Amino acid sequence: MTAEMIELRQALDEEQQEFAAMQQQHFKVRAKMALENEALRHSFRGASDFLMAKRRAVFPDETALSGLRDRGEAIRQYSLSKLPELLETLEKNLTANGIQVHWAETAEEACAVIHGILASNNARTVVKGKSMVTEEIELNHYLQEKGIECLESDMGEYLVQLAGETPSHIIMPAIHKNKEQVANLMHGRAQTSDGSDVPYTDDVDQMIGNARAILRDKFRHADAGISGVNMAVANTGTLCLVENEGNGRMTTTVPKLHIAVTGIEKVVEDFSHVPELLTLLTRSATGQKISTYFNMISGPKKNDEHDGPEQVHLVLVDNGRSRIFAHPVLKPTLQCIRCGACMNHCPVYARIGGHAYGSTYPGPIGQVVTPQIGGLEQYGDMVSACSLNGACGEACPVRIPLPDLIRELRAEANSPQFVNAADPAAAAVQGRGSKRTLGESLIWKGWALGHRLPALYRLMTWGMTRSRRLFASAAAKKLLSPWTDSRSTPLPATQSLHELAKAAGVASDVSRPQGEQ
Amino acid sequence: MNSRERILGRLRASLNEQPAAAVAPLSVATHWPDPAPAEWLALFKQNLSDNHAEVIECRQQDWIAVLAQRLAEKNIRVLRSGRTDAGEALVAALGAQLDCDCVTETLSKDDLFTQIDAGFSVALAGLAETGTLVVNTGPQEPRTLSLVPPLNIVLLPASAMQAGFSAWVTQGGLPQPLPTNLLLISGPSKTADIQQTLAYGAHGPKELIVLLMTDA
Repeated sequence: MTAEMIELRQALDEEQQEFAAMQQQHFKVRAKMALENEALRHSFRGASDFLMAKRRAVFPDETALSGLRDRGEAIRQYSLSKLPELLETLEKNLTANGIQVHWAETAEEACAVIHGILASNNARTVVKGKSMVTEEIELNHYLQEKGIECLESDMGEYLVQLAGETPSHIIMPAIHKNKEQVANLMHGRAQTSDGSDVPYTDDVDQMIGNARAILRDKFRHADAGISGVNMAVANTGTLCLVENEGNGRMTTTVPKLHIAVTGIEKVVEDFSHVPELLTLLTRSATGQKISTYFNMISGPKKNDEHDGPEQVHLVLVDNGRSRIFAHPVLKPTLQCIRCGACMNHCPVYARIGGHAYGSTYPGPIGQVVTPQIGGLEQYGDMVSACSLNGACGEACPVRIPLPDLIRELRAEANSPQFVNAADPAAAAVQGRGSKRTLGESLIWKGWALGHRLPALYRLMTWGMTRSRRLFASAAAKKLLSPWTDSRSTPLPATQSLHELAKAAGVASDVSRPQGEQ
Repeated sequence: MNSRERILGRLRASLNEQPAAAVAPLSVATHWPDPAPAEWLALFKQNLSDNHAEVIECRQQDWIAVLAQRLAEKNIRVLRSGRTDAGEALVAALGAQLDCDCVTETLSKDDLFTQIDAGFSVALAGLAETGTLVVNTGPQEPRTLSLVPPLNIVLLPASAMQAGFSAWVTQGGLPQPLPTNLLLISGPSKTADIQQTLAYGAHGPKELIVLLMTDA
């Protein structure tokens, strides 16, 4: 090995350790680290601008877009309104088509079910198509411990796995890396099929060509393929997958065993609901009218067919979804079609990037999904990473009221009713009330009281204007530092608006509504 | 109770407890315009070209000659086709020029990944709005031929053109029963996963040639 290669590998190992250490930090520390990383900010800002412009270009007509979003919302809400029935119909029709259906309540159970299928088929090597739900249940880690090689085949996912990291975006997993970083990663870590190092290149076509050669060899020899599902059609028993690269088709077509994994919310009733969701998905995600491939699977290879998997399985994963389903306000979370438009349009995501969230799903939908799956105790802080600007809600192709849901989760996190239910049947968000602090709730109580009682309000404003110098004191600066560290310190005026108005001769009782004292 | 019953039980219990929630009416109009038939061909060609595919217009009497010339220019040595009428006609005509055959038995993965330069398929329909080929697979149309070989060739009679996916599905285009694998193909395989830079030939075909048969 050359000295350069030793040095490069050490650098890559250090980066991986830094990543692991960063993931251990508190959300606020991770966000700060991300903000201080110039290269990272450049990557995310560039990607966000690029994806927003692409989306705008394929939705030139506001009325048409609005109508399509109405349809998307209606289809998803209709599907959810019949969810248990549709899941049973789906199971019946998939089974009739020869696809074996499994149900899993938790992440652990889903992993165990998948491992069971692999083990009973003696499968030792697995290629994976892109699937967020398998990231959610941490399948790779589980299978690795059981001695099963699980290779990500989506180009972005492959790079992220090679780096020992996690995806930073649900559609573009390696969005945080620039091509120089990818070039070093490929050269330092990837190995060709004959076991030699991949020659260094920072030409994107050549890098993709190198990865192509490595991965095609893996597809050819893999015992099993594991994929996600974008939509499952109940009436026909069909699994639909959206992709550009062809790795999804490879995964579901070449190995003799295919296991599809999906959250229980992805079912639609009829095939006629598919085209509009598909066009909303690809246009919102990457600004494409359609993806290169739309792969509709309605069964394993038949006897007279010459290719295709001999077995197809579907694992239906709950993992907290039935609890989300029970929540009167948060239920629209399940309308999501995982396009990523909310994160592309989020000014917070564009600045801190996907890894700062420390969760499988980043950005606005991640802020809504993650605390509901993992609990507010662990993930409650991320709901504060929102300026309530509303961009995500306006971009969402199925009209999920994301800003409302984020506000609801803030209220849940600060609820006076603490719920620490490991019970999957409890309808409340796990960890409800876990972010409530005495100091903050007292401040808000006082705030509310001050705005209800005019005398108290006047006393408050009089006090603040008369003690305005205190705000410039060192003690006050320290107290307010989370806000004032990166902003100028607010200094109250010398007199309150009330006093100024009175001095100007504005009558004080003009706008008082009737019936109030 | 098993997991299935517990999951379904929780979902049903929630539906029973929740007041009949306001669900957006499914009958809402889309306002999403279908292109006019007069625009279909031009739109189809434009969309496919934008997605890096090569669209060649041909006629029933000359499509094989047109393809043969293109294959020679590309130095294609080994081609496999499904056992369709068009595939058999192609094999009969080109058998002398190159290693060209219809697939009649299970494909060896080694041959598929290392030996075959081009796969030939016939499309069931074309979708103008997105520049999409609908490919129905089955015993006569192996699914891997449009996926694994570096060159993907698809023949489409212009009469099979439709406005778009939505119109095709709602007007009864879906084959009944559905094949084990139905495909929409809208270009050669591609990725933009490295710094949003588009690269073709990610895992599947590097090139897509569409033979658009204008008189059929």
